[in-house]
Amino acid sequence: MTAKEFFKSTTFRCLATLLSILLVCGVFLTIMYGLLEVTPEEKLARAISKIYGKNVTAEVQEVKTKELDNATIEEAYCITSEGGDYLVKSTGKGGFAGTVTCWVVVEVSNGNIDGVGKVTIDSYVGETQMAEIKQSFLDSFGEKYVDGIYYTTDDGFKVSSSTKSSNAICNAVNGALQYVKTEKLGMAANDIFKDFVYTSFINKKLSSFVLNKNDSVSYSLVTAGYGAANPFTVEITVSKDKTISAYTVVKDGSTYDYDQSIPADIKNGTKFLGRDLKYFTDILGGELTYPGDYAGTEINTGASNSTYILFTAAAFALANYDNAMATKDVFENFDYLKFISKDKSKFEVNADNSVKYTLVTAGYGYANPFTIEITVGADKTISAYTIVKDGSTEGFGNDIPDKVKDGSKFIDKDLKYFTDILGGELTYPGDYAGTEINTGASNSTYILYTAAAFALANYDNCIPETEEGGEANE
Amino acid sequence: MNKYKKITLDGLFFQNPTFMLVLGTCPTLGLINSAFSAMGMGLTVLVVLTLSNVIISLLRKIIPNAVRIPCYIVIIATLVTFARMFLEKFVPDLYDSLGGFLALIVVNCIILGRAEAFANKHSVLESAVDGVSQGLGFTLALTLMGVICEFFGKGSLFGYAIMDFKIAMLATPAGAFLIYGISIAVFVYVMDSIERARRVKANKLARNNLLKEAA
Repeated sequence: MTAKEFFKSTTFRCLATLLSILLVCGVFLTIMYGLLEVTPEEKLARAISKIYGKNVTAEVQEVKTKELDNATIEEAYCITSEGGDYLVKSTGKGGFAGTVTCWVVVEVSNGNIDGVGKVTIDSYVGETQMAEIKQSFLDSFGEKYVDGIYYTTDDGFKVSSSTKSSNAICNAVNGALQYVKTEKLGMAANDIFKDFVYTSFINKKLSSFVLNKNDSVSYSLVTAGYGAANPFTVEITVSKDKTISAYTVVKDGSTYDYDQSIPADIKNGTKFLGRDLKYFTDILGGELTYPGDYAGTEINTGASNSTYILFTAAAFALANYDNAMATKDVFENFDYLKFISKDKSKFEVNADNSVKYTLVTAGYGYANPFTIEITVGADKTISAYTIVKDGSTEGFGNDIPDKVKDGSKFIDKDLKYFTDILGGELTYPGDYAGTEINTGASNSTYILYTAAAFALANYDNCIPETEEGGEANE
Repeated sequence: MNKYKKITLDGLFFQNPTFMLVLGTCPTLGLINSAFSAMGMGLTVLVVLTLSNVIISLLRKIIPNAVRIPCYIVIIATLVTFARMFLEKFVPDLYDSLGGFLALIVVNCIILGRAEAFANKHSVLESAVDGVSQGLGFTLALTLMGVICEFFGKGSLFGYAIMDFKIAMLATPAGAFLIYGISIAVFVYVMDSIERARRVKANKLARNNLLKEAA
């Protein structure tokens, strides 16, 4: 076939027609795309406006921890035009056979969460009863918001014909609150039970504890449910000798009248008084397992599920006494904390009421942190001062006077001596030429002086008070 | 009968694409659980169908017979893509509610069917009238079934709550299938009755004429 024949053939006509149509269509769509393109910003604005019911301005927020215990944080926005509220897209787990994704408006003011502004269902997977979830249920999250309390179906946040989906929605809302609380407002992750044992027997989100001044620990525990028993709320105090000194059942989770079968001494807590951990592990074993054959055990009360829960709560409280005490902030209420590293410093009170500090300081200017041992006597003067680790750099350590270096300079000095030099705020003197810290290694000397002032100023805080009384540790 | 009137009546009733030709069943079953979605789909198909009929009719003498189907598909796909862009830009709620069914208009048998069976052989104006009437027939059928399914399945109409009573199954594709089947049966019965009445009337007229001639 010649070229001329080809150009006259049906094949060429077909190809030319098809390509021409393709070309025209392509050009048309390209132009239309330019005119009708919906930008990502426009899409976002639409989605957010749909939730708010009006146009708002939003800034995308970074989500560092996407996977939470019972939720996944998908996206987050700060609604700048609404005073800094947060809009969080959160997927709640624990549904009927899947998850529910919600948009949650978390209202914030003055660095605190004010409440839940709005909850909107975005999508769901594997849920069959979502038609039962009404707007009134979603509105209840905002109406019944209480600071620090997370929503659970046990607290009435459920739709009876769609309990599992309600649970997933609760988890989504809780996830959004947790995200804003921990990542955006910088509050504690609320995992005060980190490193605790037997946590599967309690609801970590709803439980708490306080450390008392007499070294006892008071727990407020919301347990897990077991069998026919729903979660209990119990208050337990474990004293310094690691026995239970108080046990109160605040909310009985028994169902079907089983509460009638719980013996009175368990119900009023007297059964638990004076008990140690061994008592409970002897009954339930080290894993606190529900006894397969419980007929011969103490939990065979006629309400064995409820009794089991109460025993596990007691075991939890006793087993975690040391863990609870470890959370104690020994430097709580201390002055001049910015001059030392709290995590690495410690103190002990001697028999003669002198206090021996081991302090790791903060760095300052050319000086890196120092490690210093200081003893403050009962007369609130320094009786010993030893530099364990010199933080001086670039040879400045050689410029520190011998009397400062060996600590003799500090012996018998009281707090006033240092505040006279540095002022009440222990400020680094702008004009230090005429002061004692003008040693040639003024940064290092300044650190050593602030450490001495810290030790002297906090002597009274180190001496334990004798009166009793609770003091919140959170 | 005026040919445009015939084309219109065919599209709306006698060759209604949904009830009589049973075409476009996929979006029908997927979207009639909501009257808004059903009407939106119907109107989108109406526009795409009318435009594709007009363009294909315009090009019917240029497009070689051997490549007519690929050409039709390219034209229809272009129009559907344009419709998607338009809806996403200006009617995002409808765009969201139609979801994947919007893109599937490309393979909707009504559009390709009318291109092949009608627009390919008729003038631009006739093709335009056919597109509008077939599209309207499809839209009315979907909207009617959408209203029934949403009213009884969700207790609402076009998203507005009407009553608490509902038969949830009717808001599912299975319920849509049931409503679709019943609607076809009723529509065919009505059309059949009309056709029969027309035939009886025509026979009567013919007999009278014969009797007159015999007399």
